[in-house]
Amino acid sequence: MNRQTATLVLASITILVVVTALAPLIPVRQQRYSELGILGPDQTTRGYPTTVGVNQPFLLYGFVGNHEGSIENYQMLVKLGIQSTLVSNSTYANAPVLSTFWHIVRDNETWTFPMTLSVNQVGNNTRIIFELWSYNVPASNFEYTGLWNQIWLNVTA
Amino acid sequence: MENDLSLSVFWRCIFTITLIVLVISTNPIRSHEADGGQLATANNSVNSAFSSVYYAEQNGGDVSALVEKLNIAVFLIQKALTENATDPNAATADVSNATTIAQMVSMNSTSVSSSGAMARQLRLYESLGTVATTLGIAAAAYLKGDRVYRRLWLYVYRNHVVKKSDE
Repeated sequence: MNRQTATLVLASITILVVVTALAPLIPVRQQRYSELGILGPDQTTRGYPTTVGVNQPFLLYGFVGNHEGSIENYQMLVKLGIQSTLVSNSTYANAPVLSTFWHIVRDNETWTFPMTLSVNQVGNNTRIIFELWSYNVPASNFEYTGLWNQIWLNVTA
Repeated sequence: MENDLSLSVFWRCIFTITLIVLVISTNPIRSHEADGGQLATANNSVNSAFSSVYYAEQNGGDVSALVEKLNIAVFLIQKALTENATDPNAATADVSNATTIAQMVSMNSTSVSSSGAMARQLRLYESLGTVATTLGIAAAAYLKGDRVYRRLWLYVYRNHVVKKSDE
């Protein structure tokens, strides 16, 4: 082996070892997001109720995923809306809260939970709105994540 | 006259007994029901503990156990909300336990945070040490490698090959 080849091999090994040693210190940039899903009574995306009686309990499942890169303090607010209730990714619904579900989820983990809900007033095109809120640590309050979902119901007497 | 006096005493007794009964019957409800203040305290304790755990995680601490405990506190608060109307004593106990758990989590998160920060610093020093050692060895090998290799070769050859062939 001549001197030039030896130098090249030595430099390669040195670079490899240095990069391996420094790799854990380099922060990995990845997309940060939360997930929200509403599942039917059999924990799939089927079998959602369309008609229920007043005060008749029905079962749904909530699904929340945390990919924010840190632990998250989530609250799922279930609201009773009507056809004209406004809700969007930037505005939460101004509607009465039926129920609140609360859990702290670690990074890259999911939270699936049962929700037994009921509606106490008759109405066609009633909307059950699900909003995901998370705790903002510097601001010390829960903030709307912009994630929401809904199911439409006819509530009969 | 005597009759009037005894009647007055009778009514006074009735009034006093009624008052006592009222006080006894209302007091336990007030003292055992988990009121809004207790719930707000428990909620604030959990959120404050969450902030501590969040910063502990940011510092590199392993917060798995703390998150589990905090979720127990959250569960107790939600349980208290549902049982407040039916079993106020249990609701009060749950809220109190939730507050205690959250406060303990807050306290423990400090040590988790500092141990995480220490572990992170240790990893940094380890990495920098590895880099420095590698560069040192590489530099030495580059500068003195030839001479060391030749001397080593000569030493091995002289001691094990040359001597043997002389015999």
